[in-house]
Amino acid sequence: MQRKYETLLVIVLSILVGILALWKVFLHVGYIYQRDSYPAYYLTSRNLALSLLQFPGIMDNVYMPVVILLYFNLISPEVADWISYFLFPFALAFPSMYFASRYFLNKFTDAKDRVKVAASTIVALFYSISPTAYYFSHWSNYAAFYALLPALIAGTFYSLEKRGIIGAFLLSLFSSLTTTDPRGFIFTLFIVLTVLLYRHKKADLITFLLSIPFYVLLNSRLFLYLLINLHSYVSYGYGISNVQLWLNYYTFNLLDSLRGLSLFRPLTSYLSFYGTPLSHVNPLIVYVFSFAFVELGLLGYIFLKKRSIATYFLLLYLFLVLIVSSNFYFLNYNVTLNILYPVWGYLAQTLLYPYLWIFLPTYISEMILAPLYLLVALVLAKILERYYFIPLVALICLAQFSFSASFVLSGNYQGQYNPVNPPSSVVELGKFLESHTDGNVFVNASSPYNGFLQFLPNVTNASFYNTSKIGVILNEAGVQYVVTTENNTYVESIINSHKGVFTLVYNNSGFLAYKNNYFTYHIISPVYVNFNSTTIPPTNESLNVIPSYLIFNIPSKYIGGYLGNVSYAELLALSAYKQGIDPLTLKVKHLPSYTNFTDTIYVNVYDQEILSKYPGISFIGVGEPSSLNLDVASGYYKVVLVYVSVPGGGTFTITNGSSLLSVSTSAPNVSVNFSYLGEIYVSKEAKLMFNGNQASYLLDVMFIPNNITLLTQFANEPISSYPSAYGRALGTAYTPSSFIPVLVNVITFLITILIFLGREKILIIIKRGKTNI
Amino acid sequence: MYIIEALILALLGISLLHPGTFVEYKVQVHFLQLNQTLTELLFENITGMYNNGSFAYNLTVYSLNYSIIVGTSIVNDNSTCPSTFFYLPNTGKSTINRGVPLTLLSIKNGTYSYTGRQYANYVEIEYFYYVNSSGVPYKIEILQIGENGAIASNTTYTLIASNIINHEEVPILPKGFKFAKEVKVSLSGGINNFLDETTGSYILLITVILAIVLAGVRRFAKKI
Repeated sequence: MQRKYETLLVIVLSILVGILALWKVFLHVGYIYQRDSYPAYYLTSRNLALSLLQFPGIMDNVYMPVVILLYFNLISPEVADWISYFLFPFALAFPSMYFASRYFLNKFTDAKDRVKVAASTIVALFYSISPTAYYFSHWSNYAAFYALLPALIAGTFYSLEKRGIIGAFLLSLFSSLTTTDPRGFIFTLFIVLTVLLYRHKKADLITFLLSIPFYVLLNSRLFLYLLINLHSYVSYGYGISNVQLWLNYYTFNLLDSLRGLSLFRPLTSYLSFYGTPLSHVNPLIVYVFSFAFVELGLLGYIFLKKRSIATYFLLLYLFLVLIVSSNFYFLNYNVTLNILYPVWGYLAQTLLYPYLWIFLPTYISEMILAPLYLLVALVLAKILERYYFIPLVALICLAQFSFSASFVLSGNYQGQYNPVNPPSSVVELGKFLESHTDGNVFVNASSPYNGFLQFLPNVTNASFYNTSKIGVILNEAGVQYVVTTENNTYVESIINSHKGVFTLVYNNSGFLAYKNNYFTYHIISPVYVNFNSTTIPPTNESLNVIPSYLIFNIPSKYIGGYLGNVSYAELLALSAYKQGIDPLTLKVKHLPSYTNFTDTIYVNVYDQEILSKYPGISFIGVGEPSSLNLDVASGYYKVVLVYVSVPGGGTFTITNGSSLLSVSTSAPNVSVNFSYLGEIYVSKEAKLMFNGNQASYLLDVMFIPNNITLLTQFANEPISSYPSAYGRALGTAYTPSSFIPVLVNVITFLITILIFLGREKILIIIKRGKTNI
Repeated sequence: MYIIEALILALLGISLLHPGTFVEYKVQVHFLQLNQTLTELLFENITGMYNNGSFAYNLTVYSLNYSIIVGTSIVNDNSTCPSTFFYLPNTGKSTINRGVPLTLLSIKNGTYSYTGRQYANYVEIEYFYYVNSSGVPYKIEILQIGENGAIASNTTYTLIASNIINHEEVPILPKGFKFAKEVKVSLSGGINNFLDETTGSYILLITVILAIVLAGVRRFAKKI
């Protein structure tokens, strides 16, 4: 009976915690704009479910019920959006932490029931509304992992105690909770292994091994996704590693890691009380108070009598905190830790580089708070045994609350959660485009709803000039529809002067959509290099066109020529490439900043400008005097350097030891340049040097044999291209086959359940088989 | 007097811009949420005029908060209607084609008020230019409005000096400011970082001392 009441209490509190966390937006049943994502507001329930199931859509098992409800049209996308904000992680974290804490208190203490309930409620409440919880709430998979980690830890202990097939099955179920994506899988494995290590029992190992087949069957979807789409995943991972790995480098303070804070701290600070009743609170007090649970856990540990499980939590907590921390200040000294960073630095030079994003410190901080709060639960249970300590506990709770207070009081995570109501006119436009377009959409509108318009289906960027070839040029970027608003005179004047090119297909509440009559899904032609992106290439028919900085990304056999005016250096580079001369492979390092030649992106204003101006570009950055050995066979060469000019810049020099060829990268504007440096004789070695103190950007170095001929005619092979996010992609469109993993997963899921239910019969059959033999 | 001269020149279609022409503004940026104000001096100085109707100017930003030169760069602009240089040769027209197109809001006592609006992703930026017939805005206000409709920052440009209005005016620039070394973008700035370095150090020290003392006390209590 008491159990029933307790369960009811947890359910009620879970709902209340969800409401408390985001009380200001709770009544808004609909879309909420998050820090960096707008919802796909034009999709129907079924379409949303299907898009979520496709690679690299959601992989977390706990989100599946929402997807199923959507698929069968039982809830609208607005409702799905709404409930997921409260579930991930707030309403899920509460029961997860509550029952985990309750389990450990039952098992390892002899506290009274009401003490256990009180201690579990306190830690569950603060775990659900911690700044870390708020931060990861932006992404449902990370949020699910954070929320369910306590359940995984407790569940692993519970399953290992159970042993046998039942234990193995339970272990696979608990592990499936936190298997939210490849990263969740790795972290889950890590946690289970730490429990195995802590218990070091042979029987546990058997349970663990037995659980593997169950786990694989339950999560077959994840592994199939990885198998089928490994190449896409690697490229995703590569991009993430490039940007994030070095962003995280050497930035985590130990004191922040202790409190589970990490990269997200500057985005929204727990110290900023702007717009809340506490707007004049002293940040120093909040800062000191924010250590309440950290101190309680660390110092309270000393007073615990039975320490064994507490030691596990403490060691796991300290291990995670220390490996992600870079430094701390102690009596005016800056003490450097960076324990794991050299390992990352080493791995970054290996083949593992594309996978390193899984271990980014940002994500590891998802695991820090759960062991700490479980340790705090043990300490609280001990303190609450004595009634006269209740005021102390109240004080600690108040202090700990101040850590989350700014987020809770603001009611919308300090303005990070903004209810948005896409106006019906924009939704209709979105629905029209969703059902009519197989190409790209170009938006040039002056509307207060620009935020929504940028998230219409297949929006891409393109040049929009007043030229008779406008239809053809838009087709080169895969643009099928041009979306504008009634009052947009610039777009309208262009469209009106090319009546044959555009057909008005949509005109509703001020929004206009014109169809590009020159649009073709596939363009089949050789690829032409556009050396002058600001002028209009003189094309009469649809051709595959790439900007010059992407020239070496295309196999040379497909390159059929060039558009625009061409300089000697450009023609030389193109001719050489056509004749089989590739740019040099430069052995550069992955460095946290531009101290030497590096292929990582360091955050500064020019990097951002280059990346946004030249989508898909990859460059080598350098910002201090450096040199690099070049792997060139001996002979006479013409040297062409491709670089991005920037204000400031520096000088790139090629030398053979005695003579030099140089080019300065300094220019008022950011632009891609092909520069012919001159001729050089290489006998033994050649070096690339950089001289300067400001960031400079190198794209390619070409050593072209002296006797190469300049081409005027280009032999070529046609290739097909199709519309994609960056305009057009070469090759044939990738058709999503990713429903197969989902279907397989449904089957393997059912098989797992059947095996589990029929386990006794199966055992009997196996035994019989043995005796028969 | 100079204004009339400038007007005549402007009417004759002669550009007032030539190498050495400068405008100087005091810029105050107030971030409401952080309740922080940045004060800067912005100095635009023309370095070259070109035949194709363009000119280049040197843009220098002095941070008065930190007494450093934040950045200097060379910018190319169009001399008939500059898109970034703070000079509006077509003052009085109903629309002015700048980087952000401006539309005339009102004319009052010889002051033209223009407004422009820009949407950068989810953020709206509103511009208000206040300019007299000299063409050099004497005040510019920029409001940044966040996704939630609230004002996130408020920027005011106040004209300090310009030799477009008065030939003899010279720039008033702070002396002894050094160039900022390329600032490493620290993602962990702000008050939390400051507290980590100061108060945090003591918290760490106290924790270590307390841990040792408490462990001692416990051992001692056990023995008794």
